Amino acid sequence: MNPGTILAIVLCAAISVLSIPAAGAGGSAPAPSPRGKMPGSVVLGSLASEYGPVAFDHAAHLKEAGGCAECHHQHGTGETLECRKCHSVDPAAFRAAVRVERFRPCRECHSSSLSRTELSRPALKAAYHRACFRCHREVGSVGEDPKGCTEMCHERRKFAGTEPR
Amino acid sequence: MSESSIRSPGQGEGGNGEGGKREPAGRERAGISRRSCLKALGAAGCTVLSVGAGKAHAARNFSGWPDRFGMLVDLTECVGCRGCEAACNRANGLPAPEVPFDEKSVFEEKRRPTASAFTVVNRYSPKDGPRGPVYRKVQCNHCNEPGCASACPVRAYTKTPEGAVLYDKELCFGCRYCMVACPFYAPAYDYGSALDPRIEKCTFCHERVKAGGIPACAEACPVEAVRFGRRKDLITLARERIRKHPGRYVDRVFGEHEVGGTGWLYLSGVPFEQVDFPTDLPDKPLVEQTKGFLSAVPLVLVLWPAVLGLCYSAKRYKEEER
Repeated sequence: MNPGTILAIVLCAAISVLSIPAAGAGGSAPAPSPRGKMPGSVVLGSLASEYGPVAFDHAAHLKEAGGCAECHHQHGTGETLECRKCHSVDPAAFRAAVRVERFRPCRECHSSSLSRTELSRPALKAAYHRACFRCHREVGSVGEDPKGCTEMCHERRKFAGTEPR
Repeated sequence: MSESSIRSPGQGEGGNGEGGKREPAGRERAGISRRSCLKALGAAGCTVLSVGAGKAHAARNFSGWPDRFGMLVDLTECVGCRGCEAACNRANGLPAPEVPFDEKSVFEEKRRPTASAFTVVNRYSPKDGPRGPVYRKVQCNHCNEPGCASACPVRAYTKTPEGAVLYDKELCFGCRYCMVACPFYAPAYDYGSALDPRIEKCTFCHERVKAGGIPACAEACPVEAVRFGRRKDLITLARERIRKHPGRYVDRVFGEHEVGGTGWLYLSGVPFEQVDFPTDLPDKPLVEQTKGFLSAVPLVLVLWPAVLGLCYSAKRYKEEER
């Protein structure tokens, strides 16, 4: 065995031994608790035009739902897309995208305007509403009652044609 | 009759061979008229046949404008908010409705599109359905080969490359054949104006689409129960949804094949007949049902008088000869 080969083996061993504690430290470092950073209530108003923004009581909904995945579909639900649809394959971008302590805002993936060609995921308005209706339709508060738009969530701003003739 | 008419040219030729100069003038005239009559008959027959063949050839090879748009309506997503009705009303400048768009009492009865409401949403409580109601949006389905267009005697209907079936009220004289021909009861007649006959129906927001936009109803829908896109992409999307959620959908994309395919496609969680879809429609375009008969009409109109004329002239020729 020549000295070059020995040196290479020693170096490889050293690198692998050194990298194990580093990876271990990174993995076991306590991630900030999602609950710690969770919003109490948010105003969803980026799309508001005909209807007013929605004052969303996040804390109350979490209590009712019992978990994040009921509404946030990024991980752990059947609706999840393939990983690479959201996370770039570039390792640096992947690490930046996978931040376990926070959920990505809906608008990062769901465009605020409808596309004529991109049909793979719903636009922001539909993403919001579908998330709401997943539960609210089942309890009959929206599906049974179309007035639910303005009775439950939205304040009506203008809605031409709704006034009696 | 046939024997004499077949034999007589032979006799004529024989006479000609012996001495054409002795032919009586009247007979010569009759011969020419018979020959030209036969020629005309042959030409007419060939023309009719070739036109017929040409048309049949073109219809076989044309399977629709490749990049035409369509709409995918997912009945399992619709919550019956009637936002599409309101948006349609605004986009088309239609008169304000008698009851506001957020009024749910309209669901008490099944409605049809009218001259002042190009789309309506109906509510159903199907027996095989989910616990809640099922809502179905009704409007013109913009068929690939529209029955209305084939029935219209003045060609007031056009299927555009973008996918819309458009109606030209300047050409219309108010016969309402299109209303009878449409299997979806989509064209509505404006009975309010006696002197200005007018059909009204969904335009697929053609002007908006041509300008790069999206139809008003699809833009307004809060859940994308009405999704606009290229028809072929929407079929892929619909099939994908059925594959991913087999328990949620009936394994059928309504409009993919019905009456030759429609621009609007539907997914449902309950059998389509339970939400009033006409499920007994043939896959062939409606125009195919009448094409055989209608293509025989010019043939009969052209050939029958010619045949009768020929018989008549042959008979006269025989009488004159006698």
